[in-house]
Amino acid sequence: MLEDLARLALDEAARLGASFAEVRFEDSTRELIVYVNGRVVTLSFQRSRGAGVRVLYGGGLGFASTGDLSREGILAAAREAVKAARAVAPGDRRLAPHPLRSASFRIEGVKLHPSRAPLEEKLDLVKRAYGVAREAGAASATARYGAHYGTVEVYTSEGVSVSVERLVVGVSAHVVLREADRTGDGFEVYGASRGLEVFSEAGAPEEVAQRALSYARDSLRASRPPAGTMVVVTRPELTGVFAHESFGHLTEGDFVAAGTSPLAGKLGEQIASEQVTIVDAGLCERGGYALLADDEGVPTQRTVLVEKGVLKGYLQSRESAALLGVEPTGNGRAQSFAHEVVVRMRNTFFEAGDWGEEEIIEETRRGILLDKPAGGQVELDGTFTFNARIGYLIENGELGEPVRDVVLAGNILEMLKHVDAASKRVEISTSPFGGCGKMGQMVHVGDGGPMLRTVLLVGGERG
Amino acid sequence: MSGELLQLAEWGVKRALEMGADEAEVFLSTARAREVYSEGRRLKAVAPASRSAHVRVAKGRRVAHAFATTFSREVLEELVARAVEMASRAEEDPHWRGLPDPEPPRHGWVGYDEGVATVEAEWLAQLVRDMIEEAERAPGVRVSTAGARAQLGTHALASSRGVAVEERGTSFSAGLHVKAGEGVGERGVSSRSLVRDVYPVVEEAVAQALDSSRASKLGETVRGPVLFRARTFAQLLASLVVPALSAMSVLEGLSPLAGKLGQRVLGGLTIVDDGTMPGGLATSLFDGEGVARRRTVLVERGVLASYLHNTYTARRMGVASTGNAARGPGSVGIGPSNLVVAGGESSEGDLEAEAAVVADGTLLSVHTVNPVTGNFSVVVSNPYLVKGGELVPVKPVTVAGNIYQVAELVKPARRVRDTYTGIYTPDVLVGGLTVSG
Repeated sequence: MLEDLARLALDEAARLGASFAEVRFEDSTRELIVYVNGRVVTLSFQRSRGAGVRVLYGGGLGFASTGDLSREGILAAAREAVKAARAVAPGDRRLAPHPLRSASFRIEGVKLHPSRAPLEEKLDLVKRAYGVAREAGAASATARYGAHYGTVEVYTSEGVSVSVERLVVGVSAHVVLREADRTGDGFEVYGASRGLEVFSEAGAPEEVAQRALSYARDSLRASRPPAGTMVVVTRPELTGVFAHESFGHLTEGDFVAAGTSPLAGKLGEQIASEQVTIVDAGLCERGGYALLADDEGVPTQRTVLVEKGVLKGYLQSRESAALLGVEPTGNGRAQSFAHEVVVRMRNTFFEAGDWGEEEIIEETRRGILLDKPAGGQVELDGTFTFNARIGYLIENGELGEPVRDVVLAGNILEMLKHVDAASKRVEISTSPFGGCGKMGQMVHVGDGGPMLRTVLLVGGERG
Repeated sequence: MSGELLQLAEWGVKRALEMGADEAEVFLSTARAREVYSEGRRLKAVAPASRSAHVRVAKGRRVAHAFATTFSREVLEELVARAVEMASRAEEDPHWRGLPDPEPPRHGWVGYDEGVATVEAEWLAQLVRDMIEEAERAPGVRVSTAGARAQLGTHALASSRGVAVEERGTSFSAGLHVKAGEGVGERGVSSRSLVRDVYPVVEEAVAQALDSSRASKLGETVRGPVLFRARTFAQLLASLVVPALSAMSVLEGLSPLAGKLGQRVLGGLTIVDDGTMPGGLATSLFDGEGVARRRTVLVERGVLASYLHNTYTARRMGVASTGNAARGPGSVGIGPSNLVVAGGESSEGDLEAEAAVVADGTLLSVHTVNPVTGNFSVVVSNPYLVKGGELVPVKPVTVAGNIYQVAELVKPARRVRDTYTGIYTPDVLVGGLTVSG
């Protein structure tokens, strides 16, 4: 039935003079349970159904969307897309050739899909996490369960017909502790592109809450960190945000094609130390978000961005690939049917090095070990920032007092040269609760890496 | 779609009651935007249209939400059934006191502009081309992105308590991001009506990028007063203080302002939430659950006077709703309307002279500040060092502190500015901060 609706829109766009048309359908569900201090504050089920239409007209690119999946709704969207494209024509926009004609991508090995699990089982997850925090005397505790799943289907005037499954589930815990006039908080999340069977062992909600509690305890006795440029050691989860913010965004092909990324024109150059290898992959056996094909239906590759310090590649959608004369890498993504495709990351991570984690600490005379990201951002001048919730000072190879809530900053073309140690163990994580924001669109991503040592500007309070 | 939307919402409420809900509320909205933006100089035109349907039902004190991005009768029927089923299996909320009762609006200003509602993509494309051309007249300046967007939204809300409201509104925004060598500058404007004269925006962005291109490293750590421009102060306020003012955060033990009504918490600042302000970006007749928008003094000369409430938190705390219900996918939360920070006695120039550093541009990573504690550590994109009465551009710096610890060192300038975010504030000097770069 969707194929028939797609045909209708594709024919209408062609009739109006479009040289290319594409219809992308989405049918997805988002589940969210928020449990605060023993009470369900959010119990929600969200269904997202609709279509986005992208067309080329005289080299102009237009997009329109609709939540009305009737014949009239889809025809109106096709007309609106052509009208939009005409408004910016003539232009030089094209799309790189699609590598597939017809395919269906499914996530294998899912045992208990969230759509089949009873509500009680999901409520039990948040209650178990909350129980741990309550037992420990938390002043406030929030546990969440979230899931996002569904299908994206792409049909184009070139005859492409691709269907892709989406799935991510997760549990999080936020614990606030109060002692006298001090407040400490800790946050932990565990997510995977699998079924509810992942919430056992390290993924058990009790374990998630236990880790949040442990961070909250450290946070309670933490002081504000020192300020200034210093040696920084990042734990895997924070390393991931470092990879994503410091580097990933500026390899996005749209910024490269527009010439606004400081990495434009630097392929083949040594831009980082030899310890640095950075990869963006649609699927990684070590964890993260499973994106088998992107929102253009292009299968995702393992894209090496930096290899031993040398810039090797950029991330591409069909649009950016055409502008740069290369092949799409499966990085064309959209938040929903109502959003146009832009170049986005998938799972971005630093590759392993040959250090032991303890060895990195032991061989650091003075510095700061940081963990638990709270997000980050990058500017087109290469200034990147990301934030750590908790950390520990390192003095003569030993961990010292905890510190908290600190921003880290640097410039991409300077800071990656200072990376001088990476551990053997790599972790990659994801979550259904948040993701990466760009141009007002949020998509699920994964990131990670080893424990890493570098030099960064630390936004603390002690001189 | 006038009238039809409300009828459909009322039909949804009726169906929910028939299916066994004790109370039901259906909120339907449609949004349609036309936008043209550039990647470098290349334009792209998009026309997203979206719909959303929010259903909230209660069975006794068990409440559930369901949400969808489409709302034919068939989908609404499924959604209502899902919500009723979830509510029958949910847990009791001992604090639930029912849906809001209907009330008339407290003002008559409707933020609807026919120009914004009907503007064509060609007009927006020309505006964007003009911005690009004008910006690139300056030697060495290149546009990273420029854009203009016109949006029309309508919504209808019906409930089993007799709430039946329908509203529409428009918004328009235009802005650009430019580079000059290694320097960056960014400016934008937003309004409920069309903005034709975007040249001041272009001029400011270009001037900022040129300043930033000749910035040098601060190279030290400075402790002292930082003058936040209205835009950067608005960012700090939105991420650090607004979440703490939410009554939900207070009830959940996540606000450092809990238990502090009547106490001096924010130096000499006065902050008002005003959902009735003519021309305000966030002005509307009703909030997200049909309660009339109003004007609420939150902080008066530093003394905490009220939290932001929706009906649930208000009833739980024994006060009236402040009309700040915000409807998200799957919940009814709390959000500010227009936030107005009152102006003080000093001129902007006076405060510059007192400052060690001026925080201009944007605050990077401002979404990572900690509203639970008031700690913040952010990066300023376009800072200036105040040196012998001159503003000397420096490379991005970190600024850190705790807003409640330095509250007594806060001093607002006289002129209240539109930051185009729904926050209206003067430049504000904040003492006792640590700056590093």
